[in-house]
Amino acid sequence: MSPPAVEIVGDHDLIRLSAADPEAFGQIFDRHAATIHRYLARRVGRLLADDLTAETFLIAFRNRGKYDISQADCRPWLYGIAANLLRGHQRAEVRLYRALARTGVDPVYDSSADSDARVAAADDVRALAGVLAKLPAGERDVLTLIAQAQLSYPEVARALDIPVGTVRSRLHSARKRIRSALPELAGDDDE
Amino acid sequence: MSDLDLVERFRADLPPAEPAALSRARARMFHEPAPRRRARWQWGLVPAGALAAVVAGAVAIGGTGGHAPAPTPPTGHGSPGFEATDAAGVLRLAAAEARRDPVLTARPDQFLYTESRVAWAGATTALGATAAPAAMGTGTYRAPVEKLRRVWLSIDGTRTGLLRQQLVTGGKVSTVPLGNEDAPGVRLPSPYRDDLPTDPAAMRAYLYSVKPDSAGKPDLTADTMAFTKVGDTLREEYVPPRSLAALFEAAATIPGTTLKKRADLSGRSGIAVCRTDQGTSYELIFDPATYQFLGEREVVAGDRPGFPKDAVTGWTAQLRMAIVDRAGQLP
Repeated sequence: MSPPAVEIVGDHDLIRLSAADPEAFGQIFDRHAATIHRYLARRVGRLLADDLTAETFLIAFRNRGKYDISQADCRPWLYGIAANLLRGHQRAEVRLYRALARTGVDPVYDSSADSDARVAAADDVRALAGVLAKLPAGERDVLTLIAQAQLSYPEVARALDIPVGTVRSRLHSARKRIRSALPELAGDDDE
Repeated sequence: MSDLDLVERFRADLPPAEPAALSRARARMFHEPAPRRRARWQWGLVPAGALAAVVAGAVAIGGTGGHAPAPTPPTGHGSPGFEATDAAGVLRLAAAEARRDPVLTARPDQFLYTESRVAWAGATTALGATAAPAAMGTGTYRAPVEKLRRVWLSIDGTRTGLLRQQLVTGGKVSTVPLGNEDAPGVRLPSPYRDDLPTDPAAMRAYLYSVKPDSAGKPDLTADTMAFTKVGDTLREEYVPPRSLAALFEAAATIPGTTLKKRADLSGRSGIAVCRTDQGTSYELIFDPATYQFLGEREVVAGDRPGFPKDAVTGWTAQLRMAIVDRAGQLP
């Protein structure tokens, strides 16, 4: 007679367990911290991403009682917290985009560690950075969550707590701005 | 390539997070004490936010000196003279005494009981540090109201603690259960600080790790924040002898401290190790004979709108600390 095998598959199971056993939330961190860090680092650089990753999970941990446990995948929730934190660092984010657009050198790449990486960025990357610097914050959130974090429309809606229609319109607007700055890009369909 | 592809590839080859950074973040998730610890202390302070108002209204005007009746060093930023050496000396003697203290042992299911007298003054002043000097001085000073404060805190942070507070002149006892309202089920930070460094250098790093607190104390220097962290660490927390000694040794290395040879604290007289910043002197009071830590004071240093000169704006005098089995139980 072996005890019934309880297979923990979804994040929601872990979060539910963590109500009584806070340590269980450690697995949520182990599953997703590197992913969230990567998203943050691509927007504000690795140094700030270190801090914001810690803050994201600290906030998630403290609010785990409010998690909607009907959702098996908690990444949209974590991305939402991260995006919200980034709002407090818009100036830092924009400064990095501007520097890249102006100089062709991306300050997000650590100069001491990989000096070889400090080659001038391609023109289209510079132009994109220029657009990202000017995007309204809400459009930048949607664009990066779709294209970089690879979330679906409903997931972005959940992350940012906005209707799916708003996700769609923000993405459309952001893409229009990129295409007008880079007319040579192929304009595939929005969907 | 489409526009979305371009965004997808943007900074896609960034190196991954440092494992060390992630493990720090993971540890912080479980152990970060900041808002809870502060919030816990601020319960029961009347008027609410008095200290924050005090600090926000502070204006740094150094060099007025002339406290009476005791001779005092001039106030100002980090001007070490022979007095500063004495302040460090007091801290080193306090460290030596602390090392001789017996260790107070506790089980995880027990409570740390702390009895203290506390008082904070208030000032109803709308002035910030940026206000024009001509507009200053319009505030109304409220003298400190002294209270007897009894606190029970769960050793392992899993049990609901208790705060009982009463004006020393008598009256109603206010009773507040101390649970973790922000996050039910999450451990509160333990008041039994056996997690602290026992080495002065590591302790110094701990003191200087304080980040600016958005709830109060804006614009203070790193040295001042490290100095006030000493008081924060001692307040209603049990620090075992070796860490306590390291704490005072580390405090002795903070620049800009001065010594006041006489400082009254809730009827007891002591010597004060002081550090002045933004018009406020932060003071740690020690028994002049035994170098035992007695408590803390905050004193107006210089001109501060709404405050009488040299007014004591707040203090905490620690009277008793013990381990008990239940919240509400007296030792």
